[in-house]
Amino acid sequence: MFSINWLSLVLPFSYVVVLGGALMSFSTIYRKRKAAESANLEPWFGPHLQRNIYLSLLHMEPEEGAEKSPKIPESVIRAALLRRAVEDIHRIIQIRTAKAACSSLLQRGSVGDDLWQRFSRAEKEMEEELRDVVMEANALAPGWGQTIFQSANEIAANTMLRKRLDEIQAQTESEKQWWEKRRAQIQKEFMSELDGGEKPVSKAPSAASEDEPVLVDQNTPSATPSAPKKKKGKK
Amino acid sequence: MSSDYSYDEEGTLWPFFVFTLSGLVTLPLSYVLYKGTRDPAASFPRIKSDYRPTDAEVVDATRKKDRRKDNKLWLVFLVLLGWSVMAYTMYLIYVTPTTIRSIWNPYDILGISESASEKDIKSIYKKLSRTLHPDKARPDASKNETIETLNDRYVEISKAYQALTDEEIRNNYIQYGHPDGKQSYSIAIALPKAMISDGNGKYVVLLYTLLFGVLLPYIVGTWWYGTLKRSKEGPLMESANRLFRQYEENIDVGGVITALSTGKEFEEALKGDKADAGLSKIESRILAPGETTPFAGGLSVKDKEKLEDIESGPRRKALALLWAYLGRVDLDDDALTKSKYEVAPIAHSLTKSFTAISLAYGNTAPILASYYASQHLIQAVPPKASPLLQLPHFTPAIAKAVEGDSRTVMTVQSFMDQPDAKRRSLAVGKGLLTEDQYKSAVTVAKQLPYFRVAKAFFKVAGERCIIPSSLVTLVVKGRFIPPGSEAVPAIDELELEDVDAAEDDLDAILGRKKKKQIGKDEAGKPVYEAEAPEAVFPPLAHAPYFARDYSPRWHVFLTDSKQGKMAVPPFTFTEFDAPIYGEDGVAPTFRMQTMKAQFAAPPQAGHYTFVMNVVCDCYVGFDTKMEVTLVVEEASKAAEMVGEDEISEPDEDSLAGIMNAAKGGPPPKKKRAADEEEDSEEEESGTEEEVEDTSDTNTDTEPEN
Amino acid sequence: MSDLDTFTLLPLKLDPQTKALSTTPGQPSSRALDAELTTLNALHRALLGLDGSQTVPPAPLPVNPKRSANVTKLRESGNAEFRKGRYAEAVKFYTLGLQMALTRPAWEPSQLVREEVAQLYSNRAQAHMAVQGWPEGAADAECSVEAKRGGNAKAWWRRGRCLLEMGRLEEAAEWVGRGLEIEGEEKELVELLKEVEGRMRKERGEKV
Repeated sequence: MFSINWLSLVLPFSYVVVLGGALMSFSTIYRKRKAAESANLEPWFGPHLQRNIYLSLLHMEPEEGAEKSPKIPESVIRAALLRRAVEDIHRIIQIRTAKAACSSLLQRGSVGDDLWQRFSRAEKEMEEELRDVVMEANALAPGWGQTIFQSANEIAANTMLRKRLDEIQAQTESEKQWWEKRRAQIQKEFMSELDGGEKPVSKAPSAASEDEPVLVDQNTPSATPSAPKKKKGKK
Repeated sequence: MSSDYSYDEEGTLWPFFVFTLSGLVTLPLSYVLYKGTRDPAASFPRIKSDYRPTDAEVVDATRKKDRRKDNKLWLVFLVLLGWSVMAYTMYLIYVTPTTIRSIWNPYDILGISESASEKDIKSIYKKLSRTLHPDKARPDASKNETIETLNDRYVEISKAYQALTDEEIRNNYIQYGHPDGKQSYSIAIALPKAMISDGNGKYVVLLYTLLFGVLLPYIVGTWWYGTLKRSKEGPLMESANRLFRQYEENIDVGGVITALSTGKEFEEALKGDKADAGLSKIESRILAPGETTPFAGGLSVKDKEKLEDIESGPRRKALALLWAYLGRVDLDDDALTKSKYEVAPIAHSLTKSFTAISLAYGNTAPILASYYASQHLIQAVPPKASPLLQLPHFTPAIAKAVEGDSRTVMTVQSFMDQPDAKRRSLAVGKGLLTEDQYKSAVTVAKQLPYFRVAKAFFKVAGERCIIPSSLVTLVVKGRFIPPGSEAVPAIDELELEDVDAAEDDLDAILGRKKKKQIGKDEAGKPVYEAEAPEAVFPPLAHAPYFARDYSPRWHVFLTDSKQGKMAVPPFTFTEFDAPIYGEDGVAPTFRMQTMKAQFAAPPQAGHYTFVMNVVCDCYVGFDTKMEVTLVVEEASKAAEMVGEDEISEPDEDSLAGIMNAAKGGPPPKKKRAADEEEDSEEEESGTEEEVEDTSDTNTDTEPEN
Repeated sequence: MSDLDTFTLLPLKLDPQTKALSTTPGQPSSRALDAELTTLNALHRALLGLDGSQTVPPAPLPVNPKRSANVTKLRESGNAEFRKGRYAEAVKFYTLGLQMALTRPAWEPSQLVREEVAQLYSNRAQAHMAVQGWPEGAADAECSVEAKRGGNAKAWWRRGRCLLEMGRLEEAAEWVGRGLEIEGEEKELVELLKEVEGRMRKERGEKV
């Protein structure tokens, strides 16, 4: 009753097979390529120098000629771990500030999707890194894992402040030279104007004018009786 | 009743089809082509200057090349082809005779008017049947008649008669247009028969497959990946991603320039054999001691270190070229000089992306740095260098001579504010400017559109005070006062007001108003502008070194200085409502301009002090920074105030007031009072804070702590 | 960051005597690595300086009061000298105090350092100003502001005054303006700004 003409069905079947095969191979190739692409994404952060130093210290190889590997003092390892934690703090701060900006830019289409992928991966890796550092710290000194990042945070902040202060202080010398030159010039002008018998109008009050210190005292309440009170309050 | 599809055998219909199809493609393409050939910059005013820098030819060539880049040859070809196809099909349509089937009309057949009465119809029919009945009539050979035609004619006549008299046949006629009922109809498909004939079927299928299976996916795909490839601001997505990684919280202009060099666009511009070639030459030139700066490229020591940290390659070359461009360093090599002028517009387009990124972070310093980088790139002035370099003929040495031993740079405004004799004595002399050069510099300076803010305030349209979360308008009033303008008229106080039309101007409400109200005179009568305001464009940036025509933009944004954060994102203005320059295009009009920006008020009541930044993105040192205070009142308090107000000014909503307004007279002075109140509140806020602060500091006056 | 399971082995070498780390000679090194090793060695020395049994830096709080007391003492001595009019001595004491405060171990609270340093710089700026050392005063006041931005109106005022004295009027106006943005309507700053603006007008008038 159902005599199927198999031969006439070859064409439709082969069509289905070819279509299915094409779609499947497309999807596998596409997925493989995507995976390769995301694996090849440039990491968010550059090489972690401090981590490399720390691990290099742990795996120090014996020097040529020496029998066993040199003994690295515990204190050096601790310092290296602390440096690693400081760098982690910098990275965490960066990740935290970048997160909101990155996601809002992604939504607006101002940055690409792969940036966000790189970001999420860096975030995940950072978490593991922190866990790793805490573990290492606890192994080096019991209980240190709880405070290492607090210390690292302060170190990061202190370093930044000191750098800024040094930058400002470094400029003092050139400022001083400029002022010396300028003052000499003003004095010269001032003298010549005096000689000319004109009413002296100095552009900037020079150090030579006598009323300057008075001016300062007037405006800077320097030695007023409220001094001790204030100090108590501040300390 | 039969239906049959006839293909267009006679070739009468397919030209219509082809004509429509090619028209659909050709017309939009022609528009695109037309827009491309027109120079958009031609319609903009320009700053008049006869100054030609040394490399003017190169700059002009680069500018032209960019304009040409858009006109693609294939587009021209396509448009020409489209038009010729359309012309040919039009010709075919015109010459092919059309066979029009006449509509069956019984009145015509009987030869009577449609108003004929039934009696007339009957008599005419009888008369016709007497003469035309096949039994009576004889075929007339001279008229080419046969028995058949006579028969047919008679049948038609009878049908026509029945259609007008017999009820059933009449119905048929009304319903189907024919006394026999439904007629057979034919549908003609406007395709040439060749397409459908047996032998050609496979080619049609092939064409179809190519069109929908290959071309369509390809076009959609390229479009989609094209949108993915570019960020919203225009630069490549990859560049935007790299810029995001370059962002730093305390970045300066030099840092932004360094960051911009990561752009992928440079790799394309400097690819191939161009990469690395001449890098050492550029670097030796830009790092040579400059006239007034440690390096000729105008870069700081920090920038130099950053440059040296980059691995050599397109990026390093791009950055070196950018510094050479900013420092206006002569590279003494045609190819390098050309690339020098090519990199600046690329870098400028990247600043847009960087601005978007810094806006997302919201810190004030990078946002400003990004705008400043744009200014410096357009003007070819290194960071921290004198803004005077924007003027023609100025070199770092001349700028230094003008500035004297001051620690700060001198803006164009302060240079031009000096009396002519004084600035002449500073700038003209041996080794400095010649008399002609000085004149040319001053002419340009006196045309630069410096926007001087006269007043900035907040208001809510139609309300007396600002309540939490309402839609606030920041109104910035100011005038374009080019540096060195003389006889600047005093500000008319009335122009500083922003008058709401909506509430008290009946004409405006009814949509009758054509003229714009610009203020009120002393008597309180509204002052109208002479004609409806049109958008006025500022002149294109005076940027002799920048290889693009650029229309300046002004960005207005509010920042919170205590946190160093942006409070209200920038509003960008490219056009203004009053003419900036007079008829000659040189003399400024000093007309008051209004910039308005709307944003949501904070959700809590209080006094908010913002710093308003008005930044022009293409002139260095033309920025304005001023404090503005936003007073947000509790909603309940605001309602109270309105209530009081209504009691104290009863005539405002009275009949008389409306009548008055309808006559064109002024409505009661409501808006004015509101504005004044706001101002006084601002002052109050100031004093309040002051009192608090001084009480704080009184305990703190002792420095020795 | 590279993969978590791998790392790059760096060519490091430990000096057996000083315990200082350095790169192995003959191996490639970079500016960044050298700088990092210097910092690491400094931190190591600081860690060795920890009292007694401590091997790792303690939590930032509570603070060891000894150094704070020293800093305070130095500052008070400086203040005393200042009041006696011996400004050079005052500067010396303040400088010592600053050294003391800035050499505080890096893991101690930076907020504390900021407070101490802000006061010392501010006071030293005043001592400099008393002998018309405007550039030094300006730099010190700027440092003070850098260390403590808000609630430091006096340091803002002092740098503004120094700039004014040096005739750098635009800078002074800009600086004081910024100070006002941050400190609110501080009376002294407002007055100073008025003075600066008056001078600017006068100067312009003079030029005209």
